[in-house]
Amino acid sequence: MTTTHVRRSVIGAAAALLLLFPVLSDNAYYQNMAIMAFLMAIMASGWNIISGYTGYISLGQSAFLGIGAYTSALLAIHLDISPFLAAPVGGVVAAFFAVVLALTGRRTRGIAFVIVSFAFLELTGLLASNWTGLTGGNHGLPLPLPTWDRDVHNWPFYYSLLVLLAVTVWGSWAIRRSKLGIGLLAIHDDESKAEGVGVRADRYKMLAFAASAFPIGIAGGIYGYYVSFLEPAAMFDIVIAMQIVLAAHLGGVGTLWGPVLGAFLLEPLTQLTNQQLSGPDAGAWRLVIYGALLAAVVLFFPKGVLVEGAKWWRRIRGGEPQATAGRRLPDLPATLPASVSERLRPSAGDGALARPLVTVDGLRKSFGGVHAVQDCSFTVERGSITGLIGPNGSGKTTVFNLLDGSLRQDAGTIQLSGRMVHTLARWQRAHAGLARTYQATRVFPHLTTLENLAVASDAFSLGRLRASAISGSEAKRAREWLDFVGMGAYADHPAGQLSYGQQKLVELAQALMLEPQLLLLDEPAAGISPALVERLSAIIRQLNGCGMTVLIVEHNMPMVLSLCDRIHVLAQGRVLASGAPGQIERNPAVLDAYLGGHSAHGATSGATS
Amino acid sequence: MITFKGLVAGYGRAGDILRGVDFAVAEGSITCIVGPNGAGKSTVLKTCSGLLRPRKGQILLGSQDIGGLTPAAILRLGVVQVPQHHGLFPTLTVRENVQLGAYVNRRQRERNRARYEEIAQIFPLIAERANDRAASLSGGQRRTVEFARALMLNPGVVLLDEPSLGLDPKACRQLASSVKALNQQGVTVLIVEQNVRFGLSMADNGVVLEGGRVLHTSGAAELLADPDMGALFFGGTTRETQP
Amino acid sequence: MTELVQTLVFGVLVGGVYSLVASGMNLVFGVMKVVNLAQGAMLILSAYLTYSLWKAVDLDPLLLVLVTAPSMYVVGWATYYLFIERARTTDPAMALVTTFGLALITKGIMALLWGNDQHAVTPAYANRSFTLGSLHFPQAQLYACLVAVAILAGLYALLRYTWLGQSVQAAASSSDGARLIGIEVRKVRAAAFALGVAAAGAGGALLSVLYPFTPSSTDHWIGLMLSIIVLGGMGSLPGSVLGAVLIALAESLTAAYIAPDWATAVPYLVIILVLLARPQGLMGIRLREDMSRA
Repeated sequence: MTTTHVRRSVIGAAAALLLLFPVLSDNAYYQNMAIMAFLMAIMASGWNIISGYTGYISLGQSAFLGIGAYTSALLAIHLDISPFLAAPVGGVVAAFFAVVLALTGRRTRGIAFVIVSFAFLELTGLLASNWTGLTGGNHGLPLPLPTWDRDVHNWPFYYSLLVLLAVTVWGSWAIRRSKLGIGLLAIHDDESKAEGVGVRADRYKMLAFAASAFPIGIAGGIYGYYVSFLEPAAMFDIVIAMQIVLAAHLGGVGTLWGPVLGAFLLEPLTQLTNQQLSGPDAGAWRLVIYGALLAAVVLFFPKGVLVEGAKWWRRIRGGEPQATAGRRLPDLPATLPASVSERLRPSAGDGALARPLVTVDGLRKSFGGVHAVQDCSFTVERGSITGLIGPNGSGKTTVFNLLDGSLRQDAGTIQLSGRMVHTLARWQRAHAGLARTYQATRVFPHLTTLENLAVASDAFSLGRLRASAISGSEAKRAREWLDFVGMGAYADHPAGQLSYGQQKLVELAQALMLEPQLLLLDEPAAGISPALVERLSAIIRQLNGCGMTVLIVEHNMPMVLSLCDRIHVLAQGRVLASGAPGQIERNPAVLDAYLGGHSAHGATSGATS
Repeated sequence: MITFKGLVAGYGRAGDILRGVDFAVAEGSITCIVGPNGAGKSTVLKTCSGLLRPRKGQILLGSQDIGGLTPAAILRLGVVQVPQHHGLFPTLTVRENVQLGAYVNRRQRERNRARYEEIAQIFPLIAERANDRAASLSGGQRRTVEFARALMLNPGVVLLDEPSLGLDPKACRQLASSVKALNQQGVTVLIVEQNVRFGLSMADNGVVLEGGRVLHTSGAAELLADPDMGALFFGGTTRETQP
Repeated sequence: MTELVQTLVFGVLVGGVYSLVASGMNLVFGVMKVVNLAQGAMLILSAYLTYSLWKAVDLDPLLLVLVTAPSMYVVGWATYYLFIERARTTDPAMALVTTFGLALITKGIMALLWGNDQHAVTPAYANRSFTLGSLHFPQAQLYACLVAVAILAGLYALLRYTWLGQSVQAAASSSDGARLIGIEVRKVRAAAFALGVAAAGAGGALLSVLYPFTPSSTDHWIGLMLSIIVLGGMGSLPGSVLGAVLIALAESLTAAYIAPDWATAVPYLVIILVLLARPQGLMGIRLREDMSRA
C-alpha cells in the first residue's frame, strides 16, 4: 500500500464516520464537541492560507468569526430571514475587511502584519461593544431560536459546518495547486525574489487574506445561530485567535490537513478543560494551559503532528528519497526547442531594432555616505552579450539591483526598449521583459524544481491565478527549459536539496521562463566547476543566437572575454572604460584597476568604440 | 609569530572552505594573502580572530593554539581584526566607536583615555569628527576609524580584511602609509587583499591561496614580478565561493 | 478653552508615563527585531507586584519602582534564556508567537494569584490635585510623569554613555563588528531583553497608581504599546516618546469630546492607519526588508 492509498483510506473513513455520526449517536455532548471541532478546523484551515502558505502570521483571525456572526445575526434580525441564508453575506463582509487590512501589507512585511491583525481584532471587539445601537453592546444580541424539532436540534448546525469544512479544505487544496497558491508559497520562501520573477505579491497576499477570512465569516454566521446569543467578548476573543494558531501548529502549518487534524486534537482538550475546570479560576487555568501549549509546540514541535508523523512513516518504511546532489549532469547541452527559438526571435521590421535595448543614464545610488554608483551611464545593444566587470566594490551588483528594481536609484534613468522602467516595481519590470539570476542563488528552496519555474509569471490577471500551477502548455514549456539547461531529470526534486551548481541552472531556467528581452546574469560562473562554466557559456551563446540580449557580471575573465561582444568596466561606481574584449584586455587603466592601485584617471583614457 | 597548521574550516553544514592551510607569518612582518575570489582568504582571518571555529588544525600564536578561542580571548592576547565592511556602529559617534575598541579592557579607564588621546593625535580625522555619528562618514573615513579602533588595544597582531575595498586611490595611499607606520612600531600585520598590486606593495611576504590551500609563498616583491601572477588573476580560476 | 488646555495638560502627563511603558518594547525590537507581545503582561505583573508590596510595607508606590524594575529585570533575563533565544534561532515570527504564548501564561498566573477583581493602588495623594489658575494638575499623574521622565532619562543615559549601552547598540547594528571587538553578543541581547522588561517593570509601578487594573488589562496595554512604537517608528526611542504623547493626547481628546468608551479604540485605529499610510512611522527608518543594502 502506498502512502497515497493510506491517506485516501484514512480520509475516506473519517469522512464517512463524521457523516453518519449524528444518525448513529444522539449524544448531544459529543455532537457539540464535533461542531466545535468543525468550527476550529474551518478557522485553522482558513488561517493556514494566509499564515501557513504565505507566511504572514495573523494573530487576529477570530475577528472574522465575530464579523461573520454579527453580520448574519443583524441581517437575520432586521430582514427576518434565516441566519443560515445570511451567513454567506457574513463571509463576504469578512473577506471585504480582509482586503482592506491587506492594503497594509502592500508596503510592510512580517511583523507589521502581525501587529495589524492583532489591532484589528481588538478594534472590531471594541466596535461591537461600543456601538450599542447596532450590536446591543455588552448586553449581547439574542438571535431567534431554531424552529425545528429538538430531537434533531444539532443536525443543521452539524451538517452545515461539516459541508463548510469540506468546502474550506477543498478551497485550500484548490488554492495550493493553482498559480495563486504557488505564488503564495514563493512569497513565503523569498518575497522579493518572487517579485523579481513577476509575482505581483501585494495582490497575491490580498487574495490570500480574503480567501482565509471568507470561510471563517460564514462559519461565524452559523456559529452565532448555534449559540443564539452574541457577546463581543466571546465573539472577538483573543483566546480563540490563539487557539487557531495553536491548532494549526499542532497539526502542521502549511499542510492541507494539518490544521484540521490539529483542531480535532485540540477540541477534546478544550472540552476537557471546560469540564474539569470550574469556578473562578477556570479561565486563568485555561490561559496558562493554552499559553504553555502554544509556547511548547512552537519551541519544540514547530512542524506539527502531520509533518513529523509523515517523517516517521517514511523512516519505518525505509523510503527516504535518494539524495541527488552528486549525480552527473547529462553530457551535452540540449539544443533550444524550435518553438522557443521562434518566440525569442525579435520581431524585425521597425526601426527600434537599431537602437540600444537598454540605456542607462546618470544612475546614482549611495548608502549612507558611500557612493556605490555615481553618474553611471552605459548602453546594452540589442542582441548583444554585454559584460560588466570591475573590482570588488565597484558597484556592479548595485547596478544590477537598480536595473531589476530591487533598489531605487537616487538619480538617473533606465530605458528598456525605449520605455522608462526605472520607476516601475520589480514585478512590472519582470513583465516588461527583464529577468535576472543572483550571485548567490535564490531558488525557492521548499518548492520543486518544476514549481520553481511555474512561479515565474510574465503577466497578471485574476484568470491566470485560477489556472493550475503547472498546466499543460506551461508545464511543457517549463520542461523544455529544464531540459535545455540539463536539469530535466530533477523536475520533481525540492530545489533546496540541489547542489549549488544545479541551483544555478534552475535559477537560470526560471529566469528563462519569462522569455525576457534582457537577461541579467550576476556572476553565473562563481562557485561552479570548470565543466559547468563551459556548459553555461554554451547555453548563453545559444540563447544569444536566438536573439536574447544578455548582460553579465563576471570575474571569470576568460569567460567574459570569449563570450562578450562588448564590455563595460566599472570602478568606484563609474564606467571606467567600454569596448570590445580585445581593447579592454589591453587597456592599461583596466589592468590597473584590476591588478594595481585604483585609477581615477582611467575614465578619460578608456577606449570607446 | 602566527603559524597556521593544517587548518580546515567552513560554514554551517556546507563543505570546507579551507582544506588544510599551512603557512607562517613572521614576527614584525607584513604578510599579504592574495588569491582569486572564493579562495578562502577572508575565512583564514575569521578563524584567526575567533569568528569561526576551525574544524581541524592549529593556529599558533607563538606556541599557544588560539584556534577556537572566543574573539574576546583572542583580543586579550593582542590579535585584532579590522572588519571588511559595515564594521562601524552608525548610531554611535566617532569617539564612541574608537573607544569601543578597548571593550575587552573596559575597566582600565585611565589607560583607555590616554590611548584614545594618542590615537586622536595619529589620526586627525578622529579628533575633527569625534562627536559626529559614524553614519555621516564617507567610505574612506570609515576605514580610517575602523583601523584606529583596532589600535585601541595596542595589538601585537593586526588582521586587515580587504582594506582597499571601496576606497579611492588617495585613501588607499593614506591607509598604506598608516599600515607601514604601524608595522614600524613592531606590529605584525596580516592582510587579505583582492587588489593584488596594492596589497603586495605594502607587504614583505606574500601567500597565494587557491581553492582553500596555499599554492605558493614567497617574498612580496618576487610575487609581484612573477608573470604567472597576472595570468592567475586575470585568468581568474574560480573553484569555490563562500556562501 | 480651559477645557481644551486641561485636556492637553492631562494628555502630556499621561504621555510621559506611556513613553516609559513603550520604551521597553521598543528597545527589545531595536536590538533583536523581536516584538515582545508579553510586554503588556509583564507591565501588569509589575503593577500587581507593586500592589502587594504596597499592602505589605506601605511604602510610597512610586518609590517601589526601585524594587519592581530590578525584579522584572531578572524575570526578563530568565525569559530570554528559557524561551526567546531558542525561538529566535528558528524564525523571528516564531519568537513573536512564543511571546504571545508567554503573555497568556502570565495573564493566567496573575489571575490565579490575585484574582480577576479590579485592583488599584491608592496612596494618600491619589485624588489630590494642584491648582494653577483654572487648571488642575492631578498629583498622582504629575509625580508619575516626573518619575517616568527621570527613568527614561536614566535609560537613555545608560544606553548612550555606558559600556553596556554602547555594546547593546553595537550588537544591534553590526553583529560581526561587535564580536570582533570582543562583545559577547548573546549576553548583550539577554541584557537588552531584560532591560526592556525592567522598563515595563518600572512602568507597571507607575500605572498601578494611575489606573485600576485586572489581568485582562494586559490586552489594552499591549495595544497601547504597539500603537506608540508603530506611530513613533519602530526601534526609535525619541520616536516612542513623541508617539506616546500623541497617543495620550488623542485618547484624552477623544474621551473629552467624543466618549470615554471610544478612547480605548484610539490606539488600534492608530496602528491600522499608520501602517496603511506611513509604515515607517513618524521618526522611524523604512522597514523594508527588500531594501537592504546590496
